[in-house]
Amino acid sequence: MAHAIDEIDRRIIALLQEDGRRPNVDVAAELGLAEGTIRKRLERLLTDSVIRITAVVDPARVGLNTSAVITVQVDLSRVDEIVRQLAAFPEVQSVAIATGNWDIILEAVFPTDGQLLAFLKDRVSTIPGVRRTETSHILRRVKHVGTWELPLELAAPTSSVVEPEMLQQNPLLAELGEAHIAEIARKSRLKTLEAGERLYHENDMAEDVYVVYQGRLALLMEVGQGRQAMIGSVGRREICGAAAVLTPPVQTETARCLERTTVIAIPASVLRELCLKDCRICHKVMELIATQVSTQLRDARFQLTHMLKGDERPVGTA
Amino acid sequence: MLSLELLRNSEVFDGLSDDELAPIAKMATEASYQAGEEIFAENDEARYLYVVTEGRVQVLINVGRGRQVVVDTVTRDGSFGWSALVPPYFYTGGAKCSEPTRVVAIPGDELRALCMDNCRICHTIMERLASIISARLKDTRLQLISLMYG
Repeated sequence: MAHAIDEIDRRIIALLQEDGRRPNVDVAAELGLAEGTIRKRLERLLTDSVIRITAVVDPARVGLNTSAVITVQVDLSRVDEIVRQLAAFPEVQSVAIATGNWDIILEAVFPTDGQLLAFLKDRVSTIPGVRRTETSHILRRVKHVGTWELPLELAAPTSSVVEPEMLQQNPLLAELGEAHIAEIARKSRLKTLEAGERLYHENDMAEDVYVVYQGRLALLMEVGQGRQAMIGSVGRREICGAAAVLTPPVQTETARCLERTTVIAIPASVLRELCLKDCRICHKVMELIATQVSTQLRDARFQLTHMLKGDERPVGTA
Repeated sequence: MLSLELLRNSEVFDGLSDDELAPIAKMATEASYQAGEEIFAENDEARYLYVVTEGRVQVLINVGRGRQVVVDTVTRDGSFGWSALVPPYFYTGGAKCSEPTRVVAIPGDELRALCMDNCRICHTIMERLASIISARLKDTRLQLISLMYG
């Protein structure tokens, strides 16, 4: 069964691919998470055999300078016995049965070209059932399986577990206290979008409040004739889509990803439920939303002030 | 105690019942201003949240060289001075009456204390407040856009 992994798992794996012995505390610091979270996730990835941590030998460092991909055509009725024999040769790094012109693909390393020749002549071609071989000499390896980074969009299904400390990175949310943060985290989910993708559109009904975990979003407003003006941007740890807890819950701007972005989507209903349960929290939640919006207002006014310098004409909303 | 009538239709207390308005009316005071009079200045410590019951108040921001621009005009049942409820509790603009005006002033600290006691009042007020600020934000952004593209 496919194992559900998310953006955090993917980034843990990527860091361990660089250095499999990297301490959990380092990984935690790099991702802005707790050491315990990394340990738990790593245990799960290892127990479920999603990853394995092993030593990778660099053949060139130990004098094995010749590296080759050898494709073999065989009598298919004998393929099982042939691959067993090929796999037993110490020079052989990998053996695979394939479709197409060539039935077997193997990779092997040798100290010299002479030893490669001897291997083909004396060992491979003498195996009963081997008809023909073709050898490609590897000149330079550009990418190999050890450095292959797991593409999250291909690794389905994707889980979206939100760790409480991801929410705690926002200083305002952190004030809600651990128990409430844990509850919000349980009911929130991660959402990853590519550069250029839209998180929400101006005038959409707003259901979730977003905290940016990774990446950056542009906030845009329609200026007519299909044109949009950028009115700001939000990055890591910042909140957008606060309109979801306001009346009417309608987005006042469009949010578009400037780069690959992961956000934590907190359903507004969760915040409302919390509000009804705990007065202190209610006050905190609404205060943090009001503070957020009022900071944006102050920024917008500041910008307005800046633009109006040298302009005698007062502008009002009346 | 102030008549509930003065608060019943205000935008910031919309959604509160008479029972819930009563403690707010109790802490509130009324005040009158002449045309041109200043109620508070930008960057003053924000002590009161105001509801206009009569007249017209302009919210102004300084743009340097002693000049100010109007960023908001508040009329009957509208509110201003919501910095009294939002940290860091300093007014982000000044308030000046453009005609003879009557307001109800509600002390921010007492209203915040009431919030701690009554969940529903708290939620209603803070939600209204955030919504009002958000609407003002949208207006200001539109002003900005019209200056840039208009």
